[in-house]
Amino acid sequence: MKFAQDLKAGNVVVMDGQPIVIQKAEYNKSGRNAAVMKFKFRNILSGSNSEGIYKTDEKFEDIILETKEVNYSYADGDMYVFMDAEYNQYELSKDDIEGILKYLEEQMPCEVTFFEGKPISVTAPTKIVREIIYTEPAVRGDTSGKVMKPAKLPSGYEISVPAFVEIGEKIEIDTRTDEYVSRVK
Amino acid sequence: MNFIHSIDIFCAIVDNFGDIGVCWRLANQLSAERGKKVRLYIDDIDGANKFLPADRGGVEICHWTKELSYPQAADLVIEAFACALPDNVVAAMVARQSVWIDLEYLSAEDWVAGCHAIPSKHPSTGLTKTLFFPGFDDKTGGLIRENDLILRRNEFFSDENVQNEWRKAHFLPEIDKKCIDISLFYYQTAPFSRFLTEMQKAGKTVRLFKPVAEVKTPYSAEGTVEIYEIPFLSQYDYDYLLWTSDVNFVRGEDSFVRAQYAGKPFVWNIYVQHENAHLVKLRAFLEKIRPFYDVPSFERLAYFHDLWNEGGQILTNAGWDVWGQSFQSLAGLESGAKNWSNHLFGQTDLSTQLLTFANTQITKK
Repeated sequence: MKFAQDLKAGNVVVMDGQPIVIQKAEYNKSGRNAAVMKFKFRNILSGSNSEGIYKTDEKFEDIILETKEVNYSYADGDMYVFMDAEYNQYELSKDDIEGILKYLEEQMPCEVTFFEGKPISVTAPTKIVREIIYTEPAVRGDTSGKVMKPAKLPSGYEISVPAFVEIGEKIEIDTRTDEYVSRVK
Repeated sequence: MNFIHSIDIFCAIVDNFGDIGVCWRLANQLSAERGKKVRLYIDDIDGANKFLPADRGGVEICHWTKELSYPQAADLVIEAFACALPDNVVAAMVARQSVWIDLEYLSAEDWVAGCHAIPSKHPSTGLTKTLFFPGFDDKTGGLIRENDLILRRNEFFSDENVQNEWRKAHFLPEIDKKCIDISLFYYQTAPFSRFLTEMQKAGKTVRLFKPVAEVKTPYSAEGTVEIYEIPFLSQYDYDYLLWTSDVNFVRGEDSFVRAQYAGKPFVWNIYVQHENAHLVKLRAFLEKIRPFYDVPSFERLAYFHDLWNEGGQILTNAGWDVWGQSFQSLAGLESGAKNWSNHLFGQTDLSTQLLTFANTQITKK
């Protein structure tokens, strides 16, 4: 069993006896609210899509399927190609990898999951490092780390970072929650 | 067509009376105004009895014990604030195919709209469970509001004699236009002593109306500030306190919402969270109300909130000076609060939205 907060795009769980792949996972945290996960699902057998909102402590039965270490290679239209160490290529659709698109970079190490020999999803590493390509300058004197501001990654995706983070700096990101972890020197 | 006849609400009292305050208000409205058969399950029944009125109307209060027997689930089961329903309760809900709502805490954050009222298959039982978020716009579940609230409020506003009678019955002084009357309900984290000092600069007498669990000093004064301690009020009477005060300092969720309906200037003391998550929530709320105020008034209001919630630590003494002096004229804040209140009265209330949603879930089955 896995808690909802430990699930990420590419993981496969069982719901109502059906194998379901998580295509997208969004983590939302609020004041007094316990955090909430928003999932986009695809039923592997029927191909039908659905979504669901869950508290982070909701338990899911996860399925361990065959996986393989790969690197992202290139995009061909709406298909994304990943390659393993033996130069085997695996094609996945944009929908299949929607949850990791925001972090995708050439040669990014990932893990492809297979169901009955067919690649069905890709998971990103839990922690990745990305450069900030744009963010507003910090307000003078505000170095506490409490105040957050938006910052743009090379993919165009925006993430909240502490006010002291500047353009050109590299940061570590937790891909399960899409949250800033630390600056990387 | 109405398919929801019976409703069970489960409430775990975490601390203070915030959770039970919201649950009771909702249960009472669903019973009294919507004619539903309502059972309110409460874990800390002794704690709840200190808060609940003697007259529970049509609401059946049930003790939620570890050995709770729950043979028959209601048409709609509300799990308040993710209080974690026991397995036997969920099993009864599955057997009946009840509509399962997890009523969440109130937040103005943008992500709430994207997570509100999305039916989600429960991973282990297969029953559909839906997180339902109260909120301030039509993308959320709205706020609890009784049918007669605006009528009751406006009648009270319009008659000074009635207001003075209510004040007299609750050990408060009569209305005096030369004074500013402030109701005060706050957490211990708020910088109350500094607030007292700054209120000396308001340019007129400030009268603080402070509901407390135990009245020790009914009246005291410090310079131009007078403090009136009064016993805790029922939810019903608390509205009158908000309506007869010039400014309301409120906290948590229930009193916070009621202060907004009051249409008087208010300052919110938000429940403190780890990693300052509450400040994000506070900012989101302030951004939501910003368009309803003129720019200088909004900036003052935001300033008040920073000071009250961060103990003034992030601001200089100049910030506090502005606060004290601001009370010399409340016109801008009053106008903004009225605009915001009118906006809220224009949105569909929470119980209506809840029942409409629950009915759609039944018809889908």
